[in-house]
Amino acid sequence: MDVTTPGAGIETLVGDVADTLLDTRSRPVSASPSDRPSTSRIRRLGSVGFWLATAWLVLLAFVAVFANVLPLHPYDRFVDSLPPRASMGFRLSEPLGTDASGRSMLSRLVFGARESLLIGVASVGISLVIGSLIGLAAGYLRGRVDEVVTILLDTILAFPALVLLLAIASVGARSVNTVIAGLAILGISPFARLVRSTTLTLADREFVLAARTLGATRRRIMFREILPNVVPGIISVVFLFMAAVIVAEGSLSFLGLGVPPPVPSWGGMVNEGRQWMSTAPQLVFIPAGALLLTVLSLRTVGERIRVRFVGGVSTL
Amino acid sequence: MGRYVARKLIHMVVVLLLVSFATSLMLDLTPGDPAYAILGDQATPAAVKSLHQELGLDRPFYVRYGDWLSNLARGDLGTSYEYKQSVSSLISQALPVTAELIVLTLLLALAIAVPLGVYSARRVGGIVDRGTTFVTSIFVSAPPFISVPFLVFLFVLTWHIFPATGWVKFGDSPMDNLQHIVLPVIALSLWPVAAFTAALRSDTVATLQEDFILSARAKGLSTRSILFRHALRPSSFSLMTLAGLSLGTLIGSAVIVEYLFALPGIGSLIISAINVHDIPLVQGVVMFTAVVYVVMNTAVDILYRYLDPRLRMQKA
Repeated sequence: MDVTTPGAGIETLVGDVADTLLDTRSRPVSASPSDRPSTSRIRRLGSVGFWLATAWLVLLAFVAVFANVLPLHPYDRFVDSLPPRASMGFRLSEPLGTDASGRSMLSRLVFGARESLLIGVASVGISLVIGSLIGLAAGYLRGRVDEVVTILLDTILAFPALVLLLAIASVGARSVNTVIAGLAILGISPFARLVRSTTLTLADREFVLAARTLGATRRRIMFREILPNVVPGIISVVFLFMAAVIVAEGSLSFLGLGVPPPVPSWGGMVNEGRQWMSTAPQLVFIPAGALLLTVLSLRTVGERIRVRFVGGVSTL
Repeated sequence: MGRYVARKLIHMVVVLLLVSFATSLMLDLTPGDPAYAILGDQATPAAVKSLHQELGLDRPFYVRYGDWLSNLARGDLGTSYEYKQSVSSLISQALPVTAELIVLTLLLALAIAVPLGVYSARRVGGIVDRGTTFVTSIFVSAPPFISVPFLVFLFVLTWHIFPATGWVKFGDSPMDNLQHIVLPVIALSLWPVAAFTAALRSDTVATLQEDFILSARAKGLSTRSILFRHALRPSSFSLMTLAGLSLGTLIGSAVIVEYLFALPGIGSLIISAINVHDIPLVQGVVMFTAVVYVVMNTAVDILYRYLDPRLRMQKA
């Protein structure tokens, strides 16, 4: 299958990443002469989009890291000067107004970003490390190891992603750690499959044979010869996966099974604001917009890196 | 071919066995005693003990797993703690809702994605292509819990076109049924529209470079006839595979969509089961969706090989 799924529903966790990894072959697309001017215009537009996306992500990372030292109202206290559900406005403090019970929207948005990014980085990090090790071992050792690993990975993939997350959330205590663990388990399969398939193609290459002839140990070949060549392909997937993880965390928190209150999360904020949809739609639109922008940015950056490192024409 | 099918089926059975094992483990991994979940916190030790015997909780895990598996093979998924009904009857009541939702979503998504994908491929980098890429990248970044509030705001609160929530059986009143399902279907189809369009676009771009397209053009056939009669069919393999494989994503997204629109489908069932700690029901729904998903994936794999003569000739 050679499909570049753009995916980002909750489940793209699997679909998206699996397809990104399958789509390592490039598809030549030659532009006809009449297309050329517009193609270069797209490239320019595309790079504007890329820089905007990068700027948003840098801003987000900055406020998330320095949330504690920024002059923000505490996210769990009421803002005395404003009524609940105050709208956005040109105020020096609280430009985004207040939430349904009168807490600072700006502060909750920033601390929600911190929660999302923390969960994203932690779970992607865990699944990246475990998935890569499993994939390397299966792809290089092959045989029995590979068979067992493939069956186990397929078992994880047998559950629709959100259903598996819900099952894990229902078993575990309601905490950030449960969410991270669930997302990490979900992520192991795609990363392991990606690393395995890349390792399989690399294992027969001359440089690996050369290293083996020189008497390099299996461990040395796996970590010093193969792993460095696997990394470029993974980097773009990390961004795409991060987008999927943020969506999944948002969905869980939205359903009330993710980050426990009073800690803010974007999904939880959308859910809380939902009943005020007709009178104060900004309660939903602000966190929803922030999440949309973040996912869009992560995908844009990931896609750009993929085209850069892996080659191939971006289909979305 | 026969050998390939046999190997796929064996793989599927092994995966399903592991899935059933993991699912039955859920009961033991859940902290707390299920007896208290049923009887309430004030239950006497004697009552708890007799309930344990009744539910078979006093027996070791492997005995219970064996029982669970043999019941599963007969289609018996146990009894729900909350509803005091068999889990399989609860699932069969909810299934038509989810099935209608997903089938209509797939139809709508294909109806939109086919012309969109083909016309974007016609001129790579053209206005249609760029517009489509832009819109679908937003679709793909908007999970249902973000897109539904936007849709509700527009269609329900601003334009008053559709009812906000609720469900009417198709048998009771077909018009009302359709009116209630339009918005959920639109919300659920955003992701497949984007995914299908991208898949079809990238395949069609490749097909349009083939010689037979050039000869069709040289014969003086109209653009429409070239695109839809000559290019569409050989370009639709990825699309068809993706349509089959998107089931897992759609089941996951349907959970959120059903919850938001209060549709009494599989998704609402699992969420209510998780909220009241009805473990047999959670297990039943998880197992059911996993079986459907795995069987569907295997069927798509086999069908794909059967449909594509190039793959059929290869050795399994």
